Order: sequence, then C-alpha cells, then structure tokens
Amino acid sequence: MTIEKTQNGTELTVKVAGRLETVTAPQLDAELKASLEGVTALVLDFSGLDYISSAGLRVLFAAQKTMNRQGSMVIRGANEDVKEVFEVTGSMEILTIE
Amino acid sequence: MDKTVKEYELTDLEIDAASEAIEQFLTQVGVEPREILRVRLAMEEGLLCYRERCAAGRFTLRLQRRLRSIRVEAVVPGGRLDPFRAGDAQDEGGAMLAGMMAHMGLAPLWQYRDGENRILFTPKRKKRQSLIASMAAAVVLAVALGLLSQLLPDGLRAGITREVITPIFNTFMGILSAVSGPMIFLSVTWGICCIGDTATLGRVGKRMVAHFVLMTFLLTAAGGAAMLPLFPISPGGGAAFAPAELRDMVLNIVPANFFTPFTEGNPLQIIFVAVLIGIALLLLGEKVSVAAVFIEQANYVVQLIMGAVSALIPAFVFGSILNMFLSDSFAALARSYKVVLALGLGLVTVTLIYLVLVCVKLRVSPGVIVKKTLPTFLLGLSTASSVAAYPTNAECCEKDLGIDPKVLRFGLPLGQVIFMPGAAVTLLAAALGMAEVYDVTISPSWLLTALFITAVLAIAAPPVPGSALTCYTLLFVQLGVPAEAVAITTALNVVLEFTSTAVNLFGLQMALTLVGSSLDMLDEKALRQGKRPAGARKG
Repeated sequence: MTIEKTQNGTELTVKVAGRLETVTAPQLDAELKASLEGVTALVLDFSGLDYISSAGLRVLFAAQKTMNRQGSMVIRGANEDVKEVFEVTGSMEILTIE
Repeated sequence: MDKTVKEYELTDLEIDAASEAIEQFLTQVGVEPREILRVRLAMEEGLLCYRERCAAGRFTLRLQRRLRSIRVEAVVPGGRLDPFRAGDAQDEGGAMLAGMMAHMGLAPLWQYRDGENRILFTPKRKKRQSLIASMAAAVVLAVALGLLSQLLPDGLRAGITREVITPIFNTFMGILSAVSGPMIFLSVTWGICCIGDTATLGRVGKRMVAHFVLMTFLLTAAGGAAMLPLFPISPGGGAAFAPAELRDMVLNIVPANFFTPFTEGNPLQIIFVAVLIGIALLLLGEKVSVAAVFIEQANYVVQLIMGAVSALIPAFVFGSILNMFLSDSFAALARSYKVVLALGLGLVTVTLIYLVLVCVKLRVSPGVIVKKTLPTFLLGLSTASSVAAYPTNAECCEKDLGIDPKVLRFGLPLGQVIFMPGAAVTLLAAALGMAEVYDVTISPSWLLTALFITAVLAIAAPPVPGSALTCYTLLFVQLGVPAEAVAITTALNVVLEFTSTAVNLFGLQMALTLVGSSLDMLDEKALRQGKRPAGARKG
C-alpha cells in the first residue's frame, strides 16, 4: 500500500493506493495520527485503493472521530468494491463519501 | 464434502490470510458475493477483537461444505469473550463490530466450550430459482393440469390418484413427520441450552427475551380472538365446555415415557420433553457438556435433512393440488379463502395492539409511528424477507424511533429469529381455516392447544428452508387436521408470508421500542418527532 500526502494550508489530502487490509492499516493509522494536528479538512483519495478490510474501516472511523472535532473528512474516488464495503457495513452513515 | 482446517497466529498478516481463505472458499462453493463480503468483514472484525483482548495467540479456521450446508468457523482458545456483544465494554472496536453486525443483519453463532470461543457463520449459496417462484409455478401447473384432467375418464383419474399420487404423498408425509418431530425437539432443547451461553446478556437481553416470549403468546391469543367470529366453535362434544376437558388437555401434555411422543408424533408432548431436557441441560451446565454437544450437532443434522426435504416442497405442493382435482376434492382448495380473511383480521389486530400500546405508553401520535415504520413495513410486504429489510429496519429503529444501539445490536438479530407474531397468527389462521374445511371440531380445548402450539412454533422453529412446512405438519397432526391440508397451506404460505413478514417487522420495531423505554434506553424526544427527511439522517 502506498500513501501520498499533500497539504494546502489546513487542508490535507491523503492518497491511498493498493490494499488497506489488516497488515497495512496500522501504517495509514500512524500516518494520519502524525498528520492531523491543525488540519480542518481531510480528503482521502481512494482512487487507487483496490480493497478495504474491517481493519481499514477502523482506521477511517478513528480519523472521522478526530475530524468531527476539528473539521471535516471526505472520501473521494472509491471504486465499486470499496463502496460496497461501506454500504454493507453501514459506514455511509458515518463517513462522507463523494 | 469439502473441509479445510488450518491454524493461524492471531497476527495482522495471518488474519488477512484467513480472510482471503474465507473469500476463496465461499466463492468456490457458490455463495453470493455480497454475503461473502459480510462474512469476511464480520469474521475479520471478530478476530481483531480477540487479538486486542485475548492473551491467546492462535486460532483455527474451519471451512466446510456438506451438501447444502456451508460452515465458516473460527475457534479461538482463551478466556470467554463474545466479540459480537463486546460492545457492552466501552471500547470502539466492540462498538464498531456491533454496529456493523446490526447493519449487515448477520447473526453468527458464538459459543464458549472447553476453554475455546467458537464463532460460526452459515452462509447460503446463491439460489438458482427462488422458492416462491417454484411454488407459484407448482400451483399454477397443478391447477392447469387439474382442470385438464377433468377431461379424463373417472376410472383413469381414480387410478392415477390411487396408484401414483397417494403413495408418493404418503411417503413424503412420512418423511416430513419423521423429521419434523426431532427438528422441533432439538430446536427447542438447543434454544433453551443456549440461554446459558448468553448469560453475559445482562438486563437488556433478559428483558428482551421475556418480552418476546410473553408478547408472542398474548398477541397470538388476541389475533385468535379476532378471528373466532369467522368459524363455528363447538362447546365440545355437544356439552358445555367442562374444566375437566381443560384439565385432561393439560395433563395429556405429559407423556407416558420419553419415547412415545416421537413414536406417536405428538407435538405437544415433544415440546414438553424438549423443555424438560433443555432446562436440565441448562442447569447441569458443564457437567453434561457432551450431551449438549450431541444436541447441538444433532440439531445441525436434522436441519440439514430438513433443508434437503424442503427442495421437494414444490413437487409436493404440485402433487397434492393435482390430486385434489383428480379426486374431485378441489372444493377444499376453494374453501380455503377463509384462511386469508382470518389472517387479515388477526394481523390487523396484532398491529393495532402494538400501535396502541406504544402510542399510549409513550405518548406519541399514531400518525408519527405509522409514517416512520411504513418503509420497513412495505419492504417486508414486498419481499417477504426480514433480511432484505434489515438495513432499513435498523436505521428506522435507531434514527426514527430513537432506540439505543445497544438494544438494537442484540435485539434486531435475535428478534428476527424468535419474535414472529405475524407467523404465529398465520399458523393459527391456517389451523382454523383448515379445521373448518375438513370438518374438524373447533372446541375451546382445541383452541387452547392451537394457541399454545402456534406460539411455541413461532418462537422455536428455526429459520431454515422447510420450517414452515414442518410447522404446519406438526400443528395439523396435533389438531387432528388431515395431512392434505398441509399442501394447501404450504401453497397459500407463498402469499401469506408477505403479510406475515411485514407484521413481524412492525411488531419487532414496537417491541424494541417498548423494551428500550423500560430500560431507559429510548430517546423519547426523537420518537415523538416527525419523520426526518432522508438527507438529514447522517451522523
């Protein structure tokens, strides 16, 4: 899994590509925790993401919880497989997916 | 039979490997992709919970297919922990899993035995053709051929009935009777046994189970009372109903020994024995763990057999209806319209009772409740599937009715399995209708028996293919209704199931609202508010 971060003022875009599964989820979790201070708008670019597991969902929920306190979070570019995971788990009620 | 058993470490890498193995296996055995996704995600999340909270470092994954049965089981040694109810602990992981499970409508089986936690999923394969479509085709074909058969000579029609259809029908009924008794016995016994494993439920679970059981009986009685004006009730043998008759009815529930209920096919006695043995197993706990394992595994065996038998239901219905035409007894089919009328009265009664209970107790407008629950109701009515309606149901319960998620994460999956007032009323309507069609005397003791059995069957019958057929068989045997009625009601059930499901869903929503309120786990302000627009629901 690869992670690319782009910061523009208080807006942070994190592009995640590959597979967000149990073994790679801690990597994204660590990156987000290290980067979210002072961020008011978090954009997760999932256009390169092939797969997400429940460990990946945990990381997203934790990030959403943080961003609920300090701004907003949105997920963009998720493919149909990833969107189906969000739909099946009811994550669309918690996450903002565009 | 395909079976894979593999041990893994409880590490990130191995959890991913196990998840992939599950996905590959389920794809190979033909499970529907969305179902594979649900099982994979739920199992991953369960294993993550164990990894976080248990000292145990290993788990075993068992993937098995036998005929129509598919099993995905994880065995995790260590301390007792039900990951699907660990949301009672105040951590995000458990709460997330509980929320996910509630939304996905999955109800995995969790057990703790011999120092091991066992999680079991039993996904279904893709259906090539729905049972409803098969049944509808069977009925239409049988009626068409039956009408055509009127052109045949009487002798030929009688010959076909005598030499072909009747022997096959009797054989099928024999198989059904042979399986239905053990199925209900094992289901009731195992259900009672499992209460011990749910000791961690706490006050929420206990209150909920008590409400479900009590209300099933009360609503069945109320629905039955509403239907009674449609049927002639005999006081019993031409004399006034005597307490002695009631006494005899109650005492006859107790069998002469543990075997005669099965040899005689007496459902009431079977249920009595099942309750007795279930309670004994529950009280003895670990001392009789081998017996409990036997009951559990025998339950799976019988359910598997029932699933196989259920594949023959369309043929059974076809043969029985055709036979009615061949033997000029299709008037019975025509007279069964009263089942539909009775059911309508019964279901309306059940719906109104719950509506009044909730509106009066919680001081909420009926219009508000109806508006909020209508989408789920209509979904049940149009699909006859509580699983299909689950996401809508869950969202309505939490966001519109204000029920605490802690109540829902346990109550929704459990209620879908054991709380079916619509099904109980359907069984009762069928019993009353068929009794009249076949001139069976409907006496007060007959009614009490019918009421008791339909309520117990609605609670205890497992949600497996063929369960409805089993219930009708058991019910009619006990009530003295001829076996031919089973085919009629099974055919009618294709349609009746839609209304029954809709009322089951509504009843469950109201039950959870009342239980939530009694536990101070209901947002009454949200309940009384008007229905929120769809866009306002998030967060």
